[in-house]
Formats: sequence, C-alpha cells, structure tokens
Amino acid sequence: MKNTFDAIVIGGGTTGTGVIRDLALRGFTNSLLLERDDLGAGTSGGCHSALHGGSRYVYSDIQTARECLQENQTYRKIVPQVVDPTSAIWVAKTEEQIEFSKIWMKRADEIGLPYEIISVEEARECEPVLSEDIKFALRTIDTGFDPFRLCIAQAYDAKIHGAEIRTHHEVIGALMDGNRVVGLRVLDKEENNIYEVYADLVINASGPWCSQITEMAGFAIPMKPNKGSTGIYSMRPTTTLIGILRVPADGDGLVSQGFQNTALLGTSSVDVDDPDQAEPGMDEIKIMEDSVAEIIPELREARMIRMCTGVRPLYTTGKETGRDISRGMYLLDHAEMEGIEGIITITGGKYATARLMAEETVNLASKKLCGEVRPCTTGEQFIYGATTKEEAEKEAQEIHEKYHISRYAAHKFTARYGEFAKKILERYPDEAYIIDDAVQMIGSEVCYSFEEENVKNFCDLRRRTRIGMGQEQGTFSIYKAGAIAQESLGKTVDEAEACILGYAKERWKGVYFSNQYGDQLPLTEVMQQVYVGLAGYDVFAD
Amino acid sequence: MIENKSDVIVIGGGLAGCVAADTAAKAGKKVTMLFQTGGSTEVSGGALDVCGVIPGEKPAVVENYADGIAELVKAYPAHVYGKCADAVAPAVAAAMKLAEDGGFKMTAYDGKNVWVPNMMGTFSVNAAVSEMMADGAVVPGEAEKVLVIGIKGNVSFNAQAAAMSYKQYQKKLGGKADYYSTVIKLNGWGDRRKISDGELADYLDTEDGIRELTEAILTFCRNNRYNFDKMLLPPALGFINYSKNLKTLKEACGCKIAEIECLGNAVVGYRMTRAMYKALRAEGVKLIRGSVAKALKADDNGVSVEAVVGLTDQLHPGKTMTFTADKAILATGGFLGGGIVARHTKVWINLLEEELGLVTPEMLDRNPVAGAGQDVLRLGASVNSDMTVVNGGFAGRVYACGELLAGQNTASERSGSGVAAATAYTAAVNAAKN
Repeated sequence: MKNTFDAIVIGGGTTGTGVIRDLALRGFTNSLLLERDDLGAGTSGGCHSALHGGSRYVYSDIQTARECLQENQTYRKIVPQVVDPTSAIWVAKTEEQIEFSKIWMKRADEIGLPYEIISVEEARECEPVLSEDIKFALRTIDTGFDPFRLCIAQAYDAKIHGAEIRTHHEVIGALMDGNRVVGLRVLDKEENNIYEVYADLVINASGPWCSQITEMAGFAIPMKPNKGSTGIYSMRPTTTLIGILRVPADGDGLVSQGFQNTALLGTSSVDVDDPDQAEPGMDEIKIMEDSVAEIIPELREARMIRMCTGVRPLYTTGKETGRDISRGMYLLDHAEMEGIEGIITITGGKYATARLMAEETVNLASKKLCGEVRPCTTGEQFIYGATTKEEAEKEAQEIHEKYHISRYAAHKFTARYGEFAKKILERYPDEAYIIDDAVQMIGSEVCYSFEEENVKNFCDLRRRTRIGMGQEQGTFSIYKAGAIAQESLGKTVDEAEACILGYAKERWKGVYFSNQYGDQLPLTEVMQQVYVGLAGYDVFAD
Repeated sequence: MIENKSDVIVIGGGLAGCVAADTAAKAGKKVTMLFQTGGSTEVSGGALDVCGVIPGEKPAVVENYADGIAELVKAYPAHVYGKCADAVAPAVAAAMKLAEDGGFKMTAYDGKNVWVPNMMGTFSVNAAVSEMMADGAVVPGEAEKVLVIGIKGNVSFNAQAAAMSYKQYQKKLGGKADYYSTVIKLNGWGDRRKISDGELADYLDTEDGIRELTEAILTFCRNNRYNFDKMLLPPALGFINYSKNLKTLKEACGCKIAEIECLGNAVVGYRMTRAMYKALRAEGVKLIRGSVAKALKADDNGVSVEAVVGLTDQLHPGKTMTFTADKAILATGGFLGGGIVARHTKVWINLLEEELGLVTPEMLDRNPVAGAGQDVLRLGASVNSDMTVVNGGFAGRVYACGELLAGQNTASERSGSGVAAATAYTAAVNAAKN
C-alpha cells in the first residue's frame, strides 16, 4: 500500500470529497482521502437532502445565501442527474411573518435570488395540503438531491483522476517532526492493521470531529458541534419544498425529497458535546411537527418512519450558540494560527457550498504544495458519471424497454449512476430486477457497489443505493440483498448474516426513535415478526 | 338486508376473531363478525406458533410448547397465557379444525415444536403447520437430500442462497440434511423478468401452470443421477388449488414436497383466512366483510357497535350501521392489525378509549434482534381472567383477545397463534355463558 503522498485529506463528507476532487483536477493526483467510516456517513449523510438555493439564509447570513445561490447553479451544471431542481413555496400566516417576508424579499433582491409572489389561491392549487388560512406566498428556487450520491460522485471523480480513496481507515495519530505534521497513523478497520502515511500537507476536513484531529497535533479548534434533527415521513405530501417565512427556528419547513417518495421535516438546532453521541430528541421532533402543522395541518396524519440527526461543524470564537453562529466557512491555516506546519483545516459551511470551500482550500494547499495557485476547474467539469438530464431520461427509457424495469425505477437508477447505469445492468443482467420496491432499487446494484464502489457492508450499500430507506426500512429488501451477496458475490452464510444484521442494527437506530414517537410501531411489529419471529436471528445469529 | 342483532359480535377477521366466532357459534350463539380484512393473519405464514422461544438475554428454544408456556408465565407473570394456559390445547385444536373445515389442512406434532425452512434462509418454529409446509420440517439426525427449487423471476425467494443457509443453520437444530438448489424457468407468463408470489400463485392455480411446473421438475429429475428425498418450493402453489397441486406434485415426483414459510406474501395468509371464513359461513356465522367498527358502547342491556359498512374511499363514505348484541369480543389486533394506535408519542386503543401511556426507551432495546425482544410489543389492553376488559364502563359485556392484549411479545416468543387462539377461545366460552 502506497504510503507517501503530496496531500492527505481527512474526512469523506462533501467537504473532504470536494477537496480531493479539486486536488486531483488541479494535478495533485498523488493524494489520499482517509475516511474512518464510509463516504457520506457523518454530517453530510445526515443533512436534509436539499441543496439550498440560498432562500434559507437570506435573512440570517446573506454571504452564505449568496454562495448557496451561486453553488446551486453550479451543481445543476456539473452533476445534473444527481440534483432535482424543484421550486419552493414559502408562506406567511401571521402579521409577524408577513413583516418578515418584506425583509426577506429585500435581501433576496440584493443577492439576485429569483422569486415571485403568488396568490394564496395559486399556492394552494399547487400544494393543496397548505392551510386555508395562509396569508401570503412566494415561489423561489430550490433543489433536492441525494447527499450520499454527491459525496460518492466527488470521491470517485478524484479516483478516476488518480487520487486514492480509503474508506474505513481511521486516523488515530499525527506524526510530528518538531512543529510540523509530517504524516498520520492510520487504523485499517477491516484488517485491524495500524500503518503510517506521510504527506507534505494534511487537509483536515473532518467536520464536527476536526478538533479531535488537530488535538493529535497538540492543539484544539474551538468547535461548537450542533445537531440538526430531522423526521422522515413515509410519503411526499407536497411536490415542492415548503418553508415558513420567519426568523429561522426549529421546524421551518418540509423538504419533499427529490427523486424519493419520502419527505423530510426539518430541522432543529441544538448544541451537543460529543458529535458521536448526538441523537434526535422527541421534544425537537414535536416542536418541529407542531410548527409545520401550522401551515400543513394534515401533516399530523402522516407517518414518521424514522428520525435522525446530523451534527453541524460550527466554528466559534465566542460564546454564541446554535443558530447565532455563522454557518459560513472557515479555512484555518494552522501555520499562521498555532505555528504548526503541514496541516490546514476547512470547517463550517453548508453542503451547498462544499465545492466553493474545496476551491478556497485547494487554493491555499496549492500555494503550500507548489508555490503557486493552480487554476480551479471543479465548477466547469462534469462530476463522475454525470450525464445531462436528457441523456439520463433516454437511458432510463432504454433500460425500461430492455430490462422491463418500470420507468420510475429506471429514472431513479440513471439519476444515481449517470453514464454507468446501463453498464451496470449489462454487467449484472441476472440481478436486474427490483429488490426494494419502496426505493425502487435494483439487485445489480448490490453486485456493482461491492465490486466497484468500495462497499464493505450493507450500511455502505445503503449510501450507494438507498436500499431500505423507504417505507419498509429494509424489512423485505435486505434479506434479498443478502441472498444476492451469497449467490452472486460468493459471500458465505456468515458474511451475509453479518451484512443483514449490521444493516438491521443501523436502520433500527432511526426507527428506535420514531417508535418512541409512536408512528412506526406497526412497522416495528412487522420487522420483529420477520427478523425475530420468522428468521429467528435471536437464536440463530452468533 | 343485513340483520343487525345477534348474540355475540366479534370485531376482527384474523385468527383470534375467527376462533372467537367459531367457539361462540359452536356454543349455539348467533354470531356476527365485523372486519375489514384478515389483519396480520392475512400476511402471516399460515402456520400456528404457540410458544417457541423463551425470550431473555439468552433466549431458550422450547421443545414442547406446554412446558414452554409454563416457563413463559414464570418468566413473565403478566403474560396473558397465565389466564388461559388450559385453553391452549383445545383452542389450537379448534383453530386447526376450523381451517381444515375450509380446506386448509394442518398438522400438529403431539405438542412438540417443529422447525420449517423459510424465505430468509433460516428456520421458523411452529406447533402446527399447513400440509403445504409439513414435509419441509427439519428431521434431526436424518441425512436427507433436499432440493430447493426457485422459480426464475420469483425474486422474493432465492433458492441458491437459501440452500446454502439451510445447510448451515440446520446444525443448531440437529439437522443433517444436504441441501441442493436449482432454478426452474417457467414460460407461461411470457418474458416477464420478475413475478411476485401472488402472480405465480395465480398462474399455478391454472391447469397450464401446474402442468408446466410439474413437467419442468420431472424433466429436471429425469436427467439427474441424484434422487431427492424432499423438494422445497416458494410459497406460491396457488391461492385456490394449492392442496390439489401439492398432491399432483407429490404423485408425479414420488418424494416429499413442501413450500417454505414466508411472511408478507399474502398467498399463504389468504388461503388460511379464506378457509376459516368459508368454515364460519357454513356454521352460520354472519360475516360482514369490509366493515370498520367505529364506536363501541355497552350497558346492562347489551352492547352496540357502530360500524361503517361497504366500499369506502374518498368518493364512497360507506354506510354507517349499528349492530347490537349481548356481548362483544374485540379481536382487532396489535399495532399492525390496527387495534392499538400509536401516534405523536401517544398509544391508545380506539374502541376501548383506553390510553396506554408513552413509549419509553426502557421498552425498546437498541438491538433489533435482541434475545429479550422489544418490550413495547407487550403493550395492549388489560383483561380479567375471563377476558372481559378491565377498563371502562362496558358492564362486563366486552371481551378482548389476541394481539390486542397486553403482556405478550408474540414475535420473540413465537406465540402469536397460540395467544390468539387461546384468548379468543376463552373469551368466546365466557361470552357464550348467559
């Protein structure tokens, strides 16, 4: 295994994968990305699946709003099949909210965020579930997307340009030479092997965990990890993203997930001590549901299939907490700040601004590595597998005709894999059937992701394919994936069992909370009947 | 014209509802059954589990279910079996008889549990299984040759992976069989790549379908030097002609034939519930299908149930009718069946207006396959020893049974059918007393 690199990026979220892609595209192909779990397994995967066009931050952070707007347009261009441009309807119901909307529109004009005021009737015609008593509505742009797929696409884009991606490799120590970080001590979690790697520059993109990395080099970063919990509904009551025009607070809106048939209630903001211990709270969920039910009363009839939480990497210099801290990006040059050479940290920011963050980071990295800033092209070049929407649609139709997969499923499939979609089915035609009806996931994806996308287990498989992320939460799909792993990938019975149960345990984390909320108990009864009552994993599993 | 006065009203169309209606009818009562669907029985595996495992940190497998019930009650004093242990044997016999009267034959094993292969590649424990599954049961110590047959396109059952898994998991049960697998291609439904259990069952209900399957298996055997003692098939040998199809296959192949057990395919559950409905109708029970009980009242003069009857959707609100009787038995199921409702941190039972409190973290284990199970499933209605509901002013005229009740975790205990039958039987025997 290669152990000397120009640059090492720590963190496989959207920031880290964005950085490694940028490095590779600027010719720093001798770069390595280290991720302790899997691509998109941390903050990025816990986000609310909207690549905001800026409307969310117009009031609180105009700089971030401006960047979001710009980056939103960029992503539509460079990875069109992964993003699903939707409109968003923002509504006001109270006098206070109507007052707020005036400020909102003024700021939107300032940054050029497109919007149009629409009549309440029109808003309700578009979204019949909106409450009758809303007083004001406007339509603006927004974007749904698959947060996992974007991380994966960025990482593999770097890979095809020569960079190396190592997932399930955790950084456990810094190698110092005086006040310079010269390398890292790494634990390969699959083999339990500890090894060392060396680099001219370490780029710390580990989000809320970034201080844990720099502490290995002897100094801390003042982070304020802040959790954002979301609840996921079993259906999509609206076609667009719905928001409440008000000073940002918990439960501002409902995100209809692009390409998916679930919707997401978001998002709370609560400070936490340890990002690894963050869990959604019933009170947060209740506050958010009550809040959104003000404008979508029927939301109370919707079933919340799971709850999850992501931890924001908020950077603080003072005593401010949560929403008050800027969610903007911070590029920390530790040579200047703490006198430690060989390491820089990029933190803060939004999912939507990750490419821009990477650009700023690699500008600095480039200067440190070769004395000049090589030009950045990440905003112009297609990302791994990207195809235009038209091509994706055409391929979906061909897949539908050839493999008898529904158009809907084929459409989602091409959105995930872009130009690779057809090749996957050509390579694994025997498994070209839907194994998860809720998310319309195809069996061939199991084979492909294990053989080509660094998948080690079914939790990783989920991030590649969304298996079990729909209404049934894996109950009737995951054993089919296990069977494919046995039949087509040569996995042993034990390995398949470990995959199935590892997945069930991970899924249960979110269901565990929605159970406390009550909504998911019928499915839990089914899950228990299938995995315990029928399969007997309580007595058969070791 | 629906007559709306009877002696006993049973609400619910699953196993518990059917056993309750049957028991009350056999006691000479005029019974009306109100139900929307067959509930969780309609998606069940078509077998009867009574007590297969004692949940705990180290879950203990039960050999003889009567012994298991005694242990279960000792370990969980609030268990509903504590109120009806003596009724288990006659209730299971009654359930089997009822199903058999409707054409769904079942086999029991003298109070012993058997393990049958399932869709997950493991084995499931039952006290009685349908004739369709009986031959599949693990015979400890027997070096059988078993062929697992998959049908191309029927993706809910992967024969190759299942055979690999059966071979391994049987060891824990003392099995010594050799499992082989093959996939048979049927052409009768054209060039479709995927076919559900239901669609396959539809096809095998036709003469062409079963003929094609039989011929395909025979062709496979004819060119094969191996003789198989047993063949396992997906649970899709027809919705209607399953028993006949099984016989056809057994005669043609000259070996044991069984379907594997599954959950959620609706074919097996359909057979079982429809057989019971047929038998109940023959007994004179009035079945009002597609009806949803909305309100329940009881006083010294009797009970009345308000129900929406008939086709209902956005355009058809259905017809609200009132049914009266001396007694009512609730067999409305648990969370899945809809008897217990849980939303927005509250858990309650609609018809009984009973609040069951909050779901707390203590009721949930962080491990979804924990040996002790998920205690939240033990939530339910509280009943007296005669199965009358403890709660509310129902004048002792309302009984409850099955998954609706508090105390049991039927998934971890493998006790769903036993609890349903025994509590329903007890409720109906008591409700039939004047």
